[in-house]
Amino acid sequence: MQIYTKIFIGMAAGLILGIFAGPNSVVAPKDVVHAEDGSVLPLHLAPSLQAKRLVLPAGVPAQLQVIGEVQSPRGVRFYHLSFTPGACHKLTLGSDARRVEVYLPMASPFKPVWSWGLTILRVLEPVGAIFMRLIKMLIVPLVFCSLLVGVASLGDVRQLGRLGGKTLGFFLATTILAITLGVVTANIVQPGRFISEDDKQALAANYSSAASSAAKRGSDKPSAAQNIINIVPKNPLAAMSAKQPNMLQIIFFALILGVGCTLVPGRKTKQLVSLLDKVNDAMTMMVHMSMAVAPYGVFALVAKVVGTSGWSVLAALTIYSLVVIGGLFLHAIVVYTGAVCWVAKVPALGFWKVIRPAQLISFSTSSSAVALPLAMETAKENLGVSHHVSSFVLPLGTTINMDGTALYQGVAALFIAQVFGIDLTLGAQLNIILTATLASIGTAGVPGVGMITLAMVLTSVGVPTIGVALILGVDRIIDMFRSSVNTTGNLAAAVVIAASEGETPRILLPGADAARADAGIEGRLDVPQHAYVPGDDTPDDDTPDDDTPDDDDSQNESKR
Amino acid sequence: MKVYQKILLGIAAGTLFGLLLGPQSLLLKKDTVHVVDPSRVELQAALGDPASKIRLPRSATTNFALVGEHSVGKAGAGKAGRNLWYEVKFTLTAKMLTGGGVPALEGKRPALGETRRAFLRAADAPPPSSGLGHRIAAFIGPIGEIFLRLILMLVVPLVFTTLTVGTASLGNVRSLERFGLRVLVYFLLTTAVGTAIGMALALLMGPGRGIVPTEAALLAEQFNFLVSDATSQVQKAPDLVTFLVQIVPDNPLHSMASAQPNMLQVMFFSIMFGVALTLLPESRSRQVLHLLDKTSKALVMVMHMVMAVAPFGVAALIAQTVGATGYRIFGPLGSYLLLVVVGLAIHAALSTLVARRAGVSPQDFWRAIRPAELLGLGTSSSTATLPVSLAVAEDNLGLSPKLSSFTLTLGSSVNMPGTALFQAAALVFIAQAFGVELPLATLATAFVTIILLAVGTAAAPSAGVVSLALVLAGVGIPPVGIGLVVGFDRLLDMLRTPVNLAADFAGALWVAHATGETPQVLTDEEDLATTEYGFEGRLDREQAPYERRAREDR
Repeated sequence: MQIYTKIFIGMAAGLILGIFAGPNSVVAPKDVVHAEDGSVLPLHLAPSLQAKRLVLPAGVPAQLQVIGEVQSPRGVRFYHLSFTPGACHKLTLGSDARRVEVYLPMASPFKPVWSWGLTILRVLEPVGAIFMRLIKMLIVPLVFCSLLVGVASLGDVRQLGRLGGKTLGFFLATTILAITLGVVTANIVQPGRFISEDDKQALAANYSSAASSAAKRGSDKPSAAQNIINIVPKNPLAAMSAKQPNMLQIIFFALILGVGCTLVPGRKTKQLVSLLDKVNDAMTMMVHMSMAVAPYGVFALVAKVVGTSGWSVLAALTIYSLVVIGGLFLHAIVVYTGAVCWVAKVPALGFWKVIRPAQLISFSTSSSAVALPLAMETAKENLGVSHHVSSFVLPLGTTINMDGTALYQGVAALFIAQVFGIDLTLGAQLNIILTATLASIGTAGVPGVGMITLAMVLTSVGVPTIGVALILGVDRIIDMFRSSVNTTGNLAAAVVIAASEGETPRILLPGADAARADAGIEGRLDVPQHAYVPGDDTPDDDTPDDDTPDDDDSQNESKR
Repeated sequence: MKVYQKILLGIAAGTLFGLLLGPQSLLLKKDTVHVVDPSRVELQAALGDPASKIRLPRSATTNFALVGEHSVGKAGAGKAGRNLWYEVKFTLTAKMLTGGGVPALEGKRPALGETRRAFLRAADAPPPSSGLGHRIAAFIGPIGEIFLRLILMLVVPLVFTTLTVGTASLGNVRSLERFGLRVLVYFLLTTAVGTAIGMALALLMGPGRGIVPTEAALLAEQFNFLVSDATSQVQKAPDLVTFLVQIVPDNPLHSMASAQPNMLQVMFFSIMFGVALTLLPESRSRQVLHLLDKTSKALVMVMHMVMAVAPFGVAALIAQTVGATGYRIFGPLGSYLLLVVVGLAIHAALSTLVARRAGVSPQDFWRAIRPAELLGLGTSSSTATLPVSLAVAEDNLGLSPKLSSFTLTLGSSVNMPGTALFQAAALVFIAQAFGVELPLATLATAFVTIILLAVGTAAAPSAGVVSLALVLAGVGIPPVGIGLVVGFDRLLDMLRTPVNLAADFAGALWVAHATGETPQVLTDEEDLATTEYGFEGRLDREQAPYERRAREDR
């Protein structure tokens, strides 16, 4: 079975599991109220809004059994809940508390869920987490090696300048197109007017803590000038080895070191470049190894997203989501197909067929960075883009070209403004376009990062950042769509830039791919393994100057 | 003199020095209260007046000169009771003044270098010790620390290069699976045996039965100042599933480059990298593997350079550990200490038997592994010993590095039977001392918990105490009970590391034997005769300068 078929099956299975056996299951009984942070639950000790409040310890998950429903004399309806206090609850309740009964207003955003659904998701969580980590593990070494080798094999710095200029121009143009499309669509459909006053408050309450922290991080964002200064690393090794690696700094260092390699006279740097080229090969092989667990990882991740956000939240935000998703589709189909078809003269249908694996990975992991290794492989193997173009355009694009994110931010900003009843002028909307474009350049392609930049965009036009809470419930799902649009945009850029560099991209269709073990993404692990024999140093490797016969980057040789 | 003899001499000198001139020395006068973190102690300018509290910053480690002792409130409370106060003198330093917690005295603002008199609550502070001993310890401390850093410096690059090359040499992922499973089963078994020995010995000998619960509380309270450290770290410990998920690194460079490198993550990445290299055509992987192979050879040479200063480093480390424990081992808790030592000896004997099954005689086994064993004793860390362990396995035991590097690296992170033994014995001992019944079901739960924690505990010095707090919480004993054993922890840590190492080596031998390898133990004569391998004379080789080829290029 082809890899992306397996991934698709994993996704469909996750979807079904999430709908039927998740906490918000459509068939199972809702028997508990669950909160990751117990302190946010508005609990009362008696069925009355005036009754004494019970605040559970902050930062500790709380799970309360549903006993029944009661109505206060004033007509307010409550869920009747009970729980046995754990060790940390005893601090607030006193050590003699055995079984506590509390009441939760039905109007609160916290609704009962199926306890076994929570358990199922908890069991599945490690599978998804391991898959995410496996892929993330490869990002830094892969980006550094491939970018450096790519630049070094360009040979001529002036050539890089032209390629760089073209790439940046294409990125900027598509990003501005995307966000304009988003703003226009949101103005026409007006998704904000579909939300009633009650739902507005319920949504905000459910995600208030997450939203405020997002808002806080947004306001911490450095200025535009500082953003540019920060691209130059103080210590490139620190940029690579930080827990959250700074991709822009790594890209900068790889670029400048690659240029440095081409400037050293003779063939002195040839060994270094060819070594990194081979490390890069090994990293690519590790991507293929990780893909073996992709279907299971995708299954677990999708089940979690669908199971936790569920239908109740989704229903209120469907219109907004549809607008974003529709806009994303429109952008992908019109702009990318147009660019690929007319500028690069590549058959659009073939393009859409071969980029499916990369799209599905970024779709299911909500991250274009995670899909980068596979996207590079797709560009090289299945789209026939040369190494030096793909290794330049794709890592750079993953970091600075986020069409999907930009489009979503346009729609989201307008949607939130509409919900809060703020009328945005044309000037304010232009401001959104500008800020969202810059914001989409400065953020890494990691899940959930769009939320932080959205807070920044909202601040710039004076819309309350608390509005981020409104769309957080569906953010993960939309994140999937916009990440795959980001990946598509990068691949389209790679094809267009390659064509403009005089290359002729050719499509390797999945059928032809499956027939070969030495190219494409199918069946790459079916080759025989070679044992390494340590110790016996053949003399040709001991001399730094010696040429290894398997080197394929022969441009530097001519300089001698 | 041979390398191991020099280290042995260092250990002997360090022990003697620590006993005679350490802070707990019997010879020196106990005239000082040494407080590592003064922000945690109750310090009052006027006795019994909380308003006169002096607040010192965390980092201002202070030697308080002891002037006298005062009992407040009802009489008859024990020595370590909550109403005993030390009258102390101390000099104001710049660090103390920046904290701003020192109140004015008789209208005068506190001045640098001024001597203050104050009262220190005994319950918060360690018992009095020798001020001279502390000054000596502070002087020799850096020597040990530098040595520890020298050897720790090698661990991450050596593990990465050795494991990648080792995995690539295996050449077959399937064989890695089979052999990895065998290693894991061995580690679980040896940890379970260690736990069982600790529990059985403690239950049979009952070292805690002679102690009355009230006395136990007093003894434990003596070390109250150490307990809060251990319990505060308990909450950070991840559960088993998170632990397993986090074996996969987020960013392998972060795992390698952070101050506390995550060895399991480095291992995971190295093994996967090695497998990926075997999947590539030979022409694509050879250059990378050659470079890694040669780097690891260079690092081994650096290790031999570090071994040249090991006697001094080990002497300093041991002097500190022994000096801090002192003659306390002969106190009421001595029987417990003896029990753990006996248990550790039994476990080491069992490891010897495993090695014998693999075809290495006990004498040969201990002679071959003694550099690593002695270094483990000196550093109390199997991770720090890893560079030496890898060389011992390859040179002295004659094992092929492709299998032994994997077993030893994994073993240094997850195989800690000595730690498990200590925890099991400590659990039973503390329960007996506090008069807590341990029914069979509780013992069984504790048995499983200890094994899992021993596997999951990071191989850092004294990590065992942190997981002991978790085990105690699991069976319902108050964490203050740790106070009974925490005073010896550094000393026991020193003793259990060699036992952990012996189990690792025995495992490496057993696995090699099962896969058809024959270990070739290096004799002393062979070692002395060559500078190519072994531990003797490795630095006596001629240096080969690196020739720059710049001229040829021009």
